[in-house]
Amino acid sequence: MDPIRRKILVTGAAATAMSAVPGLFAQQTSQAGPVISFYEKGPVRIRYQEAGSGFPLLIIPGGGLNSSLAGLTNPFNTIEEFKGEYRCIAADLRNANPGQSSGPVEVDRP
Amino acid sequence: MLDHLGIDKFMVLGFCIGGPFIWNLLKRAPGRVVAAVTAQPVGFRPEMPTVMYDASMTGWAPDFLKRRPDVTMDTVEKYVTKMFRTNADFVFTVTRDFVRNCQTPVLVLPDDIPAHSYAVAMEVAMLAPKSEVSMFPWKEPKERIPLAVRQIHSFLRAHRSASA
Repeated sequence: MDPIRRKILVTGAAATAMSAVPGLFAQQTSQAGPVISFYEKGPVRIRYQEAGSGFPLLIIPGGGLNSSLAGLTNPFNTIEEFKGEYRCIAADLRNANPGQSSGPVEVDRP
Repeated sequence: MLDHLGIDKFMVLGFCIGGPFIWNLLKRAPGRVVAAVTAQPVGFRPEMPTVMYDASMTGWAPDFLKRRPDVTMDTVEKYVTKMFRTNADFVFTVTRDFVRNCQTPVLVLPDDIPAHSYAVAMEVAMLAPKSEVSMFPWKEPKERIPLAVRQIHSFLRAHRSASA
């Protein structure tokens, strides 16, 4: 496995269920959400998620310095809205409290 | 991160703080951003000059410092000051001249709360040569949101096709 990218299938169990019970998979996918991964480079660790395929669309959630994946449903569910046409990528902002991304606090390069 | 994912050109849709971040992206990687949507973007308000600093120092800093004992309050204070008080103006990250000369298509969906300056959002829409702007308000009543989303779809499709 790529040492800097550890993919975690949040819906791991659903992946197995997909082939056997399509309806069940669809239900679990919508509840558990897309694929969550971590990207690490030096002291920086970024949690991000991907969904859909097509031209890449980077989505930055709201929330000020607490911008995180949890904000992707406000004011509408952006991933659900765009994953049918785009490869959607979104991340927890580095050091946001509700998220899981972390790294140095760089005063000269905020 | 996008390099790591093998992505060269992309479009971006950013809410709130995503506005200043998008302008920073356009400054740092102008050839890679095909089109950008800033929804309810953060902007500087001369009449409330510390609103973003205050919100960050009360809504983010305390819990962050609890989680990260390796970081001092002094560092956090300098970090937030640099972000929101040093040269605070407009969209925080680029100048009006930058926006005036930006050739990337930009769709603006304004908001009007203390952190999301309507005046700055509209100023961006007026300055950027390839801008579009949504109706306002677009979030209330909530029945308007699907119309705004439809406009985002149309905007993205138009520029995705142009880039292909």
